[in-house]
Amino acid sequence: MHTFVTVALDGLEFASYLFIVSVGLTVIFGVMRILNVAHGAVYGWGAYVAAIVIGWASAAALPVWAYFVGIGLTSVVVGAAFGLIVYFAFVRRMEGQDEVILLLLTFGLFLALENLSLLVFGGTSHYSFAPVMALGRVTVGGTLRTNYGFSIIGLAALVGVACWYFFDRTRTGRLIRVVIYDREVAETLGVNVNAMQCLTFIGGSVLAALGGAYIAPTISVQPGLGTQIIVMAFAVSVVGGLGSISGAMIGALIIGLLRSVAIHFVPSLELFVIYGVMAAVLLVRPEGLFPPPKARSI
Amino acid sequence: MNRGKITKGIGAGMALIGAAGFSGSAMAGNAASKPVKVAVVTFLTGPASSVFGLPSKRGAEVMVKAINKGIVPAPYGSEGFGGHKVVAKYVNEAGGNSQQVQNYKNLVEKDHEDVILGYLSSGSCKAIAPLSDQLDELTVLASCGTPDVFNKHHPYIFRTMSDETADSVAAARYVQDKFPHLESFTGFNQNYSWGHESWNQFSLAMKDLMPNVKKGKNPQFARFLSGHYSSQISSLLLSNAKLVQTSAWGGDLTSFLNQGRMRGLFQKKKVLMTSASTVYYQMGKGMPNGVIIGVRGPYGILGRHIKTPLNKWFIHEYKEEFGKYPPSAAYMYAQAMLATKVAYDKAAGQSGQKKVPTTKAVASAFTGLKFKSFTTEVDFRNANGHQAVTKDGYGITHWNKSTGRPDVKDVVFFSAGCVNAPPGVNSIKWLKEGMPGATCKNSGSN
Amino acid sequence: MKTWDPRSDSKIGPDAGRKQGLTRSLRINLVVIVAVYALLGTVSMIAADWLDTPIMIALSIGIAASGLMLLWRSGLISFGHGLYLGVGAYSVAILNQWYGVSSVFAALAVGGFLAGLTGAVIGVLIQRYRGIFFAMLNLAFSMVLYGYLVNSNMFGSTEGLSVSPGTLLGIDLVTSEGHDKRLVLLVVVLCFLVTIFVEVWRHSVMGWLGRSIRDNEVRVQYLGYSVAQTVFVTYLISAVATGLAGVVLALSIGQVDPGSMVNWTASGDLVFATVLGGTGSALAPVLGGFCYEAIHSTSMQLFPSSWGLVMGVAIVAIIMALPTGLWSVIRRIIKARVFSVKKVEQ
Repeated sequence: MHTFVTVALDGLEFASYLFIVSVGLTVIFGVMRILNVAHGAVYGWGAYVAAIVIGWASAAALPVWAYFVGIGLTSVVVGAAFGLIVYFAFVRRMEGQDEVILLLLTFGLFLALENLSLLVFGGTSHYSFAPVMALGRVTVGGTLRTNYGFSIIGLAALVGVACWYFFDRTRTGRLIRVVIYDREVAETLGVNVNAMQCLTFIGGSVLAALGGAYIAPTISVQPGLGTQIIVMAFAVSVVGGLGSISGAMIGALIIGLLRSVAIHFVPSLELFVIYGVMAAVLLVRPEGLFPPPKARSI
Repeated sequence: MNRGKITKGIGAGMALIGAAGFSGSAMAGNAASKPVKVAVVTFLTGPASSVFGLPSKRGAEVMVKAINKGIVPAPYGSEGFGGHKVVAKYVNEAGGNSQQVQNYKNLVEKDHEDVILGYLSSGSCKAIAPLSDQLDELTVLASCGTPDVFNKHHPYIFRTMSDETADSVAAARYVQDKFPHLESFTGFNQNYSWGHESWNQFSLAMKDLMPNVKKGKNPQFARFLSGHYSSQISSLLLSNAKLVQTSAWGGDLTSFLNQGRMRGLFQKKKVLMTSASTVYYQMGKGMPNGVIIGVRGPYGILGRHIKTPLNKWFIHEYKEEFGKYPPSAAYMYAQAMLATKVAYDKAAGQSGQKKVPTTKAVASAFTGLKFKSFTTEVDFRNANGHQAVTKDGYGITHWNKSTGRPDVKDVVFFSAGCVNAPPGVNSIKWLKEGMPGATCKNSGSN
Repeated sequence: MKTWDPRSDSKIGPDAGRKQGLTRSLRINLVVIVAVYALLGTVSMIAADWLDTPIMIALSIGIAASGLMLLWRSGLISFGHGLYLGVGAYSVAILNQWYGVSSVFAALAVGGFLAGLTGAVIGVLIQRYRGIFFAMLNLAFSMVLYGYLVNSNMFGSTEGLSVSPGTLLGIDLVTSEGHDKRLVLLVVVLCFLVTIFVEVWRHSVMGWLGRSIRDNEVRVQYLGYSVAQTVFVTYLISAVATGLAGVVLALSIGQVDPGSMVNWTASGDLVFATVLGGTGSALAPVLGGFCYEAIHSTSMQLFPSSWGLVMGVAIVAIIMALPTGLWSVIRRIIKARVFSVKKVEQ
């Protein structure tokens, strides 16, 4: 019984982390038909900056809530900065081009930004364990677990609800959905498509930075973070269906739980699980398990 | 019109880079008779740079400076290599095997280096070994651990420290010595060659020494550099095994330590770390007490209390210049530099000439060499006189309240013959056959 | 299946003399290719020894990029061709280490065959995918192989396997002193053959179709040709070419490991070289290979931690300013010269 609970919680924790990182990627694709590889680099930058900010906060012996404010601010600042720069300097200029060309563009940006972080922050690892220690731990399923791990699950739920609320209940969100269905018609109806796209891009980047910033206290932030995460984010988005938020959630859960099962029972399969599921879904149902409904063009 | 300009600019830029890349500086081959040119290869960038690369470079720098001034304590006080000044150049080991192959060829064919010294990664060593044979270049391996290098005879390759099997054997012997009632063990290693090999060798050694101890069914192999060990730690916590062996290093080890500490791993299990030198210094008080720690030989924090004049001098010099205690990587490269000096001195002494000894002469001097290094005797008795063996040991982490510094207690060193295969026997084969021919005169705690 | 041969030899209308024209352009291109390779071969023979490995690597990347260029011409990019590099490279290593075979012919044959076999199997699966899904599916497959290799101690895990220098008809390609000019010559010849093949292919029916697919698939189908088949054959060619490149890389470097050949970052390098070169000629990928190696070597020597940044910036610059690759620059220079000469003559 303990094993079952532990495996499930481990899977849920990793799935939550994957969801936060992937939902931005999938939404950007849905709205702009761009698979933003640079998403991974923004994640890395979010992690580095958060690690440094938390380092300052703990050196100044600030109270616990300051860490989380720091993480939040980091995500917004880093995400918005990169979102704006990438969107206006590059993506906007290449609007309307083939999706593969855009993929290569974002791939180049990913390499450039990821390695820029290497030059700026150096090759050493950055640690910022204070928030994890501050939240304490609790025994569940026979083993001690960090409350910080549970908070990741909470954060993912929050992000999910916020996304649903935004796209379902706010005017801007619904306008963005209109753009997803049919960009041309939206334009003719007077929707400011460029503003919607810009907003989506920034929002997605903020979520990427949030993923990095929130996970930074649990790991040692070292070069190569972005490279690791981007393929997993692809896998999650593809499995769930590019452009679908509920798809990202399901994809994250599937991959997170399978990974946890693999690690507990057949550890060497960990790498396979992720890519195997991605390949299987692409072969059988390339639109993903929960693709967003697509209007048929006649 | 903008496009045209950009296009031309790019074209010109690419052409320039291309030309620069291929022409390179036409350095006149400096096969001069005066200095000995040594290329030191280590990880100047990348995840290994802060824990191994930088300290190793520093260790080499300290030695080169001291050797050139002739201030190394006796009997190594003569100036230079056989009286010739040492000119060291530091080359990056990053970039993968193909880059290492190219670098090696450049260093020999373009820069005419006399000695290539270094290499932390086993992959690099294996990649450049055939080149040493082809190009007749003296190659001194300072750190890479794989026993496979000497599966074939290489006339100009010498390794100045024990290979990685010694770490696993010493670990198993330490466990046998201090925890004789152990029932089962498991592992947490990084999912790449080093992690796999470390686990295999440790398991084999444990099977030889403590055959009744059960091996864990699901040893963990975490993705290299991922840092997400929550599931792996859960699996370790749920397992019955009391001992957790890990060969993780650098940032991964730190993540493992931090996350494990939060979840009570170190209270529930005994953890054995085989390669924790710089991390222990970096973490300071953050390292839990009671962890079994090894540093790949009698170096770093384990070697700190071995009070030979040479060691005291080295620690003092390193600390003077860099403000920190030398971790084991510094020792490994310093030892390699020292070994090379001893070989050159011997070759120059024998030839009695003023010219720099030939590669052949130095190789012949190196073969079967025996000398006293900072903390141990180094005896080139394996692989036809090309592979050195030293003693190896483990200790237990212990924060020293009086000095306010990381420290170790219960240190046990095992003699060279106790943890290394006898001459002419392949290390892995030796482990599989139950370590026949091991001679254990316990060197005791020192 | 075929209803209309684009290489019509009618004497009237817009296609008048086209077949003649095509054959003539093919002939000119072949002559140019022979000349370029003759020059390349000579230069590599007299170049300094330390240039051998960079030249061989540049040529290997060029061979792989030649295959990828054909796909890129059809509007398809694969982020998973490291799979075939790995298949080719590991075939040589296995032949060498487990079976003691050192013949380069055998290595090329086995490596090329196995890469082709893998390519055929995967090609059947992916021939109907396009765009991002094509790229991602290839990525997924290559990472499955990567994961397997990292976990398998049999294949040396991340350290991989070593490859002894090869022999051709019993002659050592790398002398015991490390002179590998013979190996370099072999690689030049192999690259030459691949370039010739690509050039001839470009002028064949399927070659033209490949180019047309990028513009409008539906129209190509209306003409009665099978788009899926064309994609499959093009993919197969790219797989074999990349497999051969893997064999040559293994022989040049002497060590095969998953990190530098099968990981998606290695596939990214191939994509970089392909896009850098462009699609304008069969020589373009080889140009891309040399530029890749030059940029790579220089940044590794000068600022090792900046290689990724340089590559990223280069890709962005090419995509934004020169999407047809560097070859288009050369073509523009040549055209300017040729046209200006013609004007003078008139």
